[in-house]
Amino acid sequence: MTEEKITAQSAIDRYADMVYRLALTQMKNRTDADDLFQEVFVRLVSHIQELESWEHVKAWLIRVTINCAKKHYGQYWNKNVDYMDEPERLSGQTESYEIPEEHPVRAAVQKLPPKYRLIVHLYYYEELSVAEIAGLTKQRESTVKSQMHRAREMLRNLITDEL
Amino acid sequence: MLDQYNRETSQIHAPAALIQKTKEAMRAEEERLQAEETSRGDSYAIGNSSAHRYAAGISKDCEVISAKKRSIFSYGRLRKWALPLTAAAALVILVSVSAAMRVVKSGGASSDMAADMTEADAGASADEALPAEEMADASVEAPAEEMPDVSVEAEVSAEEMADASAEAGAPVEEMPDVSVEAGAPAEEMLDASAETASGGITEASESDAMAASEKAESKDNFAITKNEGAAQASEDTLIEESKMENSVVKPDEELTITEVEKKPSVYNSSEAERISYQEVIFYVVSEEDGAYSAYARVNRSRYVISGKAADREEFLEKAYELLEEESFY
Repeated sequence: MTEEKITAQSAIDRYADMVYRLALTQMKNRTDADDLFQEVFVRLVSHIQELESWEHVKAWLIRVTINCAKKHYGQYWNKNVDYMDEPERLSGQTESYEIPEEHPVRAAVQKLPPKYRLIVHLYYYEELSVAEIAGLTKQRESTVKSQMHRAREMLRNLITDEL
Repeated sequence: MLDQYNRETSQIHAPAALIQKTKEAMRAEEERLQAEETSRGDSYAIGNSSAHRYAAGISKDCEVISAKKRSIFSYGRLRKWALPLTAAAALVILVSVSAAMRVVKSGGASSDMAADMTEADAGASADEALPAEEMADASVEAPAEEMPDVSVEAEVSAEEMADASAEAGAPVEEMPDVSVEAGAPAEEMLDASAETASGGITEASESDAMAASEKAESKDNFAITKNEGAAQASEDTLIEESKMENSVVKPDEELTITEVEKKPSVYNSSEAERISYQEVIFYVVSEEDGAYSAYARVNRSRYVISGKAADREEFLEKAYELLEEESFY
């Protein structure tokens, strides 16, 4: 079976959902997630020739999504304004965005601080190892482990309180 | 719990509209990148091929501009090459000069050459056969103090010059050579005596010689200078210290006025008296035998006046007159 040629168009077909989920995990609202999604794939166009395999493409997309999200949060406005309390911004413009009542665990994860959200998502959903997460987030493995431990505790408390 | 998270998350999909919009943006980005590459390639081709330039329909003005650019570019290239080339040339010159200097400094032949050069400078063509050692001996045996006198006498006649050499203790064998030299003008003699000196004659003695040559211009001056041995010695000391620039001897008044560049030792002397005479401040030092030396500054020029006088007031009066003449005060 011949492997699909690595192009930007084929990459978006393959990894659109992954990038979108990660963007939603990282961003506070859907509009920002959409912007992040577009920015990541537009950047991919100029770097696609440097990427040799699909694993490489996947890692690059995760890394760039994390960096763009960090850049977004680094801006003053985004640091100091929270849209989570604005229901009109969170109301789904498309049918694919989750409704918190139907997804209680995901809603609890969204309440975690961004660094814990990222680790939980990468570990449990993307099924990356601690070493891979450490490489992508440029942290020590021990740091990732301790953050994972704290994230689990916080999640447990959040869900218990809600129940 | 986290299985449920996975289930919930897997239900999230990227909106088709967003994917479509993103694909369009990606296409636009690809086109932009291709256009950039094409323009880069075109500009390269335009820069290299004139035929391509005409095919692209570039106007003549553009061609002129590109020609200017090319010329600037070539000039830049030239400059790039010019710098190392200049450095290399400078290095070659430096090496050749240093090698030449080494050759001149080392070896006995080089000393003979230097002696020849000294003789040539002195203008003594008759002394070409004389070894450098003899020349040096002649100048060493003649004391520095006597040199001006010798040069002064040289102007008068060769016979007088021979006598002067005899007074200076020059050997009899060297006298003819000296007399041959004595036929030259006084200035050339001075140069010869100064340049052939191997260390016994200093800059001060050269300046002494200059002063003496000025004295020799008048016979009266010459006679007076001859008679005043002690006074001349004190003058020489003063002149030596103050780097004389211009010296005028007024023998009738028995005073010498000298313009100096720096403050002389008279100024700093503990024996110097600060006297204001006719609104000019003199620093006067009285010496033995009724001789006086004074320093004064007039019109931003420094002067040293020295000579004999009956008393200090007379000395100051004469010194003031001399200053007036000298500085148009």
